Amino acid sequence: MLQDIRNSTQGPVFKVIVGLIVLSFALFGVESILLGGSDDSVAVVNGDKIRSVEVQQAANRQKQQIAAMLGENFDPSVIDDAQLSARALDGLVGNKLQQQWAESLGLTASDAQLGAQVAEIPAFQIDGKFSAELYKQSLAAAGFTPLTFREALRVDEIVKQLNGGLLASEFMTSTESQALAQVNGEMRSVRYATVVRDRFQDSLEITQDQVQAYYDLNSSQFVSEEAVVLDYITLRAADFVEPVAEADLRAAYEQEISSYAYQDEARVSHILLIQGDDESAEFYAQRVQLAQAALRDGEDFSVVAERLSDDIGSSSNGGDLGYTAGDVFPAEMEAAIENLTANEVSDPVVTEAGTHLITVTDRRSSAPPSFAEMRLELEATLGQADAQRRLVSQVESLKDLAYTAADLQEPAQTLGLEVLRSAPITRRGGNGVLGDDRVITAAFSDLVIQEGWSEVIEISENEFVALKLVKHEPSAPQSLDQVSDRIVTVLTAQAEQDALQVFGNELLEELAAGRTVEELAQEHSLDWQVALQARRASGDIPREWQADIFAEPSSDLPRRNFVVAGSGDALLYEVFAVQVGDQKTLPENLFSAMKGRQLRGLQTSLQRGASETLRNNADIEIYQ
Amino acid sequence: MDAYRTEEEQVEAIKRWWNENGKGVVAAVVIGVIGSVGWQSWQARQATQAEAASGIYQELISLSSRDLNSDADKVRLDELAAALTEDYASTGYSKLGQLLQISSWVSQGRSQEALVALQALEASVADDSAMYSIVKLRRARLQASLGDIEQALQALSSLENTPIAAAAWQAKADIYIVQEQYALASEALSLAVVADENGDLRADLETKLAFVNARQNSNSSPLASGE
Repeated sequence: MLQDIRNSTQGPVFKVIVGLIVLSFALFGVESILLGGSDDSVAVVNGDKIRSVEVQQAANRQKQQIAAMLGENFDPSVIDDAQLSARALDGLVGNKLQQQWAESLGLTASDAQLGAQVAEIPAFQIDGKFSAELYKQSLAAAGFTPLTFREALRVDEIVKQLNGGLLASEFMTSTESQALAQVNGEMRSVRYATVVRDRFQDSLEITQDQVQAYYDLNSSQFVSEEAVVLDYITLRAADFVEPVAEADLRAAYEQEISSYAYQDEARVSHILLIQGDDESAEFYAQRVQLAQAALRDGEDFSVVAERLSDDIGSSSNGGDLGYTAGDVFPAEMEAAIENLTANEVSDPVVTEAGTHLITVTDRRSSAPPSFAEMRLELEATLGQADAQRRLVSQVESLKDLAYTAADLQEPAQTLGLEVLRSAPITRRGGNGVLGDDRVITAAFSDLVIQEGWSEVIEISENEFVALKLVKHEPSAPQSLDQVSDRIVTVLTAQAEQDALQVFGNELLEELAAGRTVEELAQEHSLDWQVALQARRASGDIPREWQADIFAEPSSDLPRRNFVVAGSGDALLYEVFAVQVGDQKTLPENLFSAMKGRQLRGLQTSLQRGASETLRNNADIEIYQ
Repeated sequence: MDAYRTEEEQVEAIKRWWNENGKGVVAAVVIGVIGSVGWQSWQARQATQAEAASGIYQELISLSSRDLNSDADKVRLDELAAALTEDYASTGYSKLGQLLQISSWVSQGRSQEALVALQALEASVADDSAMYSIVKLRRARLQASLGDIEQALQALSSLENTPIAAAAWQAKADIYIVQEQYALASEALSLAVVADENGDLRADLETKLAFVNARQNSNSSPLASGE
């Protein structure tokens, strides 16, 4: 058979095959075959993959943000994960396009620059200094490795460079400044008089017939809201906290202080003597004795270490090795260290490294807190943990009892709880636990409305509620008596408006007939004012009517009008002069604020437009 | 190819082949090695270049984010931009650097120079459509401020169906407002409002719309009296 192989390996087909294999390794390297790996990409943007892990991470980040924003009101079930993922993916595609754009322009950030950036991030600093340890921990917690984090920073940096140049170089031309000044600097001079909303309140009378007519016409509006009266039991972990047994507290205390943080530590220095390759045992032993003798003669340990120690790592520090809690050095050394008093020098200790002379320069024990000191804290933790366990078992019993019992009294008595009765509650919710969305949803569920009881509802891991229906009040038509007050209020408001408008039209006619705003205001005891050359958004014209006054046509002055605002108050006004704005008369700071605003709007708009352009021109595939 | 019967024959065959093709093979290997070393060192050079350009660019950005009060700052800005355009013309930094320089020229009132530079830049970024449309918009707006309304309007019209249409309509409206062509301004502003889907420009657009409408149909207010 070997002969067969030998023969066939000389054939032309085989040579072509080998040639192809050689070529593929030469061109693509061995990684492409070894590291191909699994492909979990969910989208491809111009050939770059977006992986599902990335989408997941981004979606989780958003979820955390929402949770942080809502705080206690956060209900994970409300969040539509699919929607969140879709949005996260969309964001990642956008980022990828920005990255590709920046890279196509050849933008870079040097390693030195990124390193400097990392060192300046406060999250990686302890006492204002960069800590490599903290850096690695924080990255790991956020799902990064130093390499992926650096890459993320690099992308961030080059995109920032791109936008920095492209958007920061936006400008306003002289034409645009002029247009802005003409519009925003426009000045109008106005006389006006205010008519308050309730001017005609007392002179109006709403008749029973009007109320009846309104009721007949809008009867479909007048229905009561659906409501329920509930009996409910609340189980809270706080109610189950019991005194913790002394023995348990003791045990927890012992466990706490035996943990690493409270161990005794010794600071160790050594002199290490290593036998040279061509050194005789005799000579080596002599060197050890020499060192011992020097120490016996009272020479300082650190000086001897510096002079004689073969451990180049520690000799320049006087042989200092730092602290050990008994598990840092080889067992032989640790055994010797344990028996040393401070500054006593050990007998020669032999380890694989060589012969050591050891001394302890310092002993420290972070003294554990006393039992009395820790008692409160331990009581709280243990109590809480116990209470939660009891709560869970009570919830289980309640589930069984509530299911079989006719009302909540029986389970409540069995469990030693109190049944509370609510006031009528609508879908808008009540107070306390009855205001919780989950409780309200359950209260109006078919189970409660039709069967009369609810499952045990989990509000948080420390709070549970069970409901029993006492009374269901479906929404029903309301009688005229029940709603007549409301109708009167509505009709009064309408009548006031009508009266105002009639009054306003009379005033306008009088103005047209040649009376002045001042005269009319005095005659009807209205507040009146003159605003001269008031600009948009200036305080001289009441805010509510500013848009109306500046919308009046600027020709054929004076322009007069009577306008009832959203608040119900009305304004009679006369615009008697209009001037187009001018850069020269606009206060400098006001004008530059205006320009700044238009510039920022333009930058935002263009940034959005550029992203859209990239998207339109990109080759984006999304797998789902 | 034939199969060879003995080792000697094979060795013979290889020798013969080497005599015929040896020089070629050696040449190919030498070219390959030189090419690969050259390619790598070229890439390394590109990287160093880009990093150097990046450093200059950072200084340029931080300089142009300030109000340039002293002449020394202005000179320095021009120096940095020139360094990017001359020494690193092949990188994107040269384009971004020019944009920053142009912006600084406009704010110094050197609009004519800025326009010339923008026009040159516009031609050189034609294959980057995102940047091209922004540069074209700036060119048109600058042209309008220098009085070349016709060219400006033409360029702005060509942007009406792009993702930056809102900004283009706003630029048109500004031109019309200054020319007191209020009907045209009103139309442009209405289209800008429609194109401005996210409301980035809304506040200014609405104020301008109110302004031009008050001047456009002056007889339409039903309650107005005093005619």
